[in-house]
Amino acid sequence: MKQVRGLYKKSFCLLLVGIIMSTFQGSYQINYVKAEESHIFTITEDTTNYEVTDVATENDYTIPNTSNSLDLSDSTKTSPVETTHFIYNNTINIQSDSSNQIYISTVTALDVEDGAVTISYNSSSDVDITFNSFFYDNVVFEITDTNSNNYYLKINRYAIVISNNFSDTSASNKYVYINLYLDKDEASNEYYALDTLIRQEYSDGSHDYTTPNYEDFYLVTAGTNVELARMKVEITDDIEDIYVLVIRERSTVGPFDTQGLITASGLGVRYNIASQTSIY
Amino acid sequence: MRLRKSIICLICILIMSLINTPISIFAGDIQTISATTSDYENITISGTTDSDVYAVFIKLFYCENCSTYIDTNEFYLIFNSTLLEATSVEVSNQSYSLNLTIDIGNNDLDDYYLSTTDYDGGNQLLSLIDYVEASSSTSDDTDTSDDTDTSDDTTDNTTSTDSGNVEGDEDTATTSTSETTEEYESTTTTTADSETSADTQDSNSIWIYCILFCSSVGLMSFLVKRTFGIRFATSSFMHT
Repeated sequence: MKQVRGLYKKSFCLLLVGIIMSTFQGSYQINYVKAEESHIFTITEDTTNYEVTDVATENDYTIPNTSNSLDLSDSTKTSPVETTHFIYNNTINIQSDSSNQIYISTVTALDVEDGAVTISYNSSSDVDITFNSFFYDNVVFEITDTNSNNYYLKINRYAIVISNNFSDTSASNKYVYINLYLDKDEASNEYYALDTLIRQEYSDGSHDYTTPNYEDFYLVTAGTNVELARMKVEITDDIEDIYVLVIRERSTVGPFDTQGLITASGLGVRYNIASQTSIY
Repeated sequence: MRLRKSIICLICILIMSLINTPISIFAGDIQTISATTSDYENITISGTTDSDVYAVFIKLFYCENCSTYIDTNEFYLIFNSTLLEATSVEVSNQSYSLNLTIDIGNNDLDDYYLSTTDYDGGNQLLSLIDYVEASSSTSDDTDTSDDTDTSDDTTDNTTSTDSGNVEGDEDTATTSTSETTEEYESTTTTTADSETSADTQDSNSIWIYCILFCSSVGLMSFLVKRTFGIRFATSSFMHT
């Protein structure tokens, strides 16, 4: 009887040790995977000169964050991790997580001409990217660390944030709002010279251009050295996408010495009506 | 009195000098814009820039009779134009290029014009698209329908303009190079004419061949008669 009890006791102890061992091994493995797969980079824009803040009456959209901590572990060239920043803040800082032993070797701008961006290596975990033209509003960067791992980051640069009134069931018409953020001095003095083009793409494949209703155009202070100009355009049921592009041609006529301005490359910022998303 | 004249002269000189002060030219300007049409649907827009231009913004407008006004009445263009395409392209090695496919329909190509703008503080240029048909290439092929079908293949017209510069102080020059001689409409109408003229040419050549053949036969018979006549005479003389 005693032998049987001893056998039970031994078996129970072995089982207990086995459970403890397996639990320990499992938790160890989980920790190990976390350490391997997490590659955090902090992306920050320099807000010394310009900072966009939310205007109290306009809460139907979100202004992109000026600072983001992004995990670039699963990023690829065709599917990079995206971050969006104000176009006037033309220098973006990238910092790797040195506590996680990630050190930057090189940063390369893909699919743009030489000279499109200037890359400054402050340290092995701190790099500045400066865009040299408004044209480069969406650029993919390849970040290579000292272990030859590649990460892909797409930096979008906005002057326009697009929103809509689609959720307003009491509204008689559907509108897309073009929230345009500009340098305060340029916007106040020269907003009339802005040329806002709306390319409307229809379900039958055709397209045309229109301009927003300027009666809805107004300017309000929206942060440090920034003013918001808001316009709207009516959306009919047969419109699938719109492209928004704001340009201002350089003028030296009279007192209006204005620089050129563009808010997006190509056809402009695409806004898909069905998904209600902006595509840079 | 002399002092007053001096002051007036000084003011005049001052005003003149202010008027003549050149506007500063910013680095990074568009140099040229040109449009090449290979047919009635495809347009290639290209041009050159300074080394400091990163990208240009191109707009294609339709404007009836805009060729009359493009250099003289900018407001006419603004209020009478329809924007067809607007896009921006990156500049590479101080040059840019964009291929557009548009449905021109029954409109004249010289009713289309282009506008380019620099992104970063440069200038603006305007240019007409001026389509002129290439002359038909000479071919030994007697199939005239193939010969006349050159309108879509051999047209190479380039209009290069750097007028309409808002800088105002740069040299304004308009150059237009054309390897072509006829307009599309005239070519299409001459297609039928060329076929009839080919028929006329063929009938004329038959008559020429007939005349040549007849004269050759006549000459041959004359020579034969003459030769045999001499031989006969010679042989009769020898026999005697």
